Amino acid sequence: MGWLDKLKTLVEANLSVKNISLININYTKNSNNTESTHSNTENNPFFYDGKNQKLHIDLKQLENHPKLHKQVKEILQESIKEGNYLLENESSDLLDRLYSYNKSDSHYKKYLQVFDGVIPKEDYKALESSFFLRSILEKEKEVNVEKYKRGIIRQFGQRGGHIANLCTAGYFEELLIPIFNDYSKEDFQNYYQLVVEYKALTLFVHSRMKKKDIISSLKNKMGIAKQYGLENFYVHAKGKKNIKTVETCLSGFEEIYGAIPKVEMRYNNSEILVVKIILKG
Amino acid sequence: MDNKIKITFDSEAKREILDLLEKIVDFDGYIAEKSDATQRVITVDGEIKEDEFGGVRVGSEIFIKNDLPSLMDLSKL
Repeated sequence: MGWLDKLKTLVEANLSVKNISLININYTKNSNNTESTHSNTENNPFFYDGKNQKLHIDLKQLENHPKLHKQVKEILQESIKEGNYLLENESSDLLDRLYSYNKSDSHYKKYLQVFDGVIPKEDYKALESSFFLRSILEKEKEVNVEKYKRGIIRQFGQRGGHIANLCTAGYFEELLIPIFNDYSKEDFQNYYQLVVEYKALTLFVHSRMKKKDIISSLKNKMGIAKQYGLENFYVHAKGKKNIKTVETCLSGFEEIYGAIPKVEMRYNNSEILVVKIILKG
Repeated sequence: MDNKIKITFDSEAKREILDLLEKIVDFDGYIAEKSDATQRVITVDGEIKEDEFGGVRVGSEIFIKNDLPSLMDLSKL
């Protein structure tokens, strides 16, 4: 008897179960919690949602049935041994979206292919996740971008985070692909190093940056830009607070630092500001 | 994986799932073996903290991190 049949046998002692396509394991700490509808009031650890062919197993309730608990544990272990994944709901949802994305002919996948074998492998992987993030940002309004970016930073460090910022701001397809197409591989890689490693083209302002940090970063960028003969670089700010801080920093900037700040893009609704800093001859 | 039965768990059940897999969380927040708390679980990306735990596959030996790049890798297996 396979693990699923064993599980059905256990469950059917209390419930009528037909097909099962999804098993969800939960742990209702408070059985009186009205949101915890997965377990019934009869201290039954199983709940079957026939419409969605979904079986819920409440581990908290199972603790009251030691023998059953042991059997369920063994069955779940058997299911994993057979190649089934045991996934946290959020990870499972994200994995489903990734499967769909992989099957799709998203233009972001085509952009990504340009960089295959051209940029370092770890950068490529960070970029791959970043383009997926772009794809969901395009479809959905409520996306926890910072959470996804944190994941990229956790795997690929600050360099990965910078790649994600560049990617979500459109730099890869709007700037780097044309350079790749128009110049030699070596020239492209030198430019890529300038953009990604030295962060010469962009300053992404985040909420932890104070005015003095932004000014210091701007001066640093100006130094790099001059060193490599760049004529300008861009400051990106998102959110009211960051935009206000950037505006304060750039007030009188030209007179003090000899570079012209020019607003390139301002979306009041999505609270995005992009300022081009033009270096004087 | 597409044709298999999906088994998922709520994030609130994480500790219980780890217990089910004979694992514990050590003092530093890393997942370790219940039989030997000094032996931390290793993923392809190194040790794994409880808050990074996204799931498990094949006999509880391969732990999955819940971040986007890890799941991206998983989606291609």
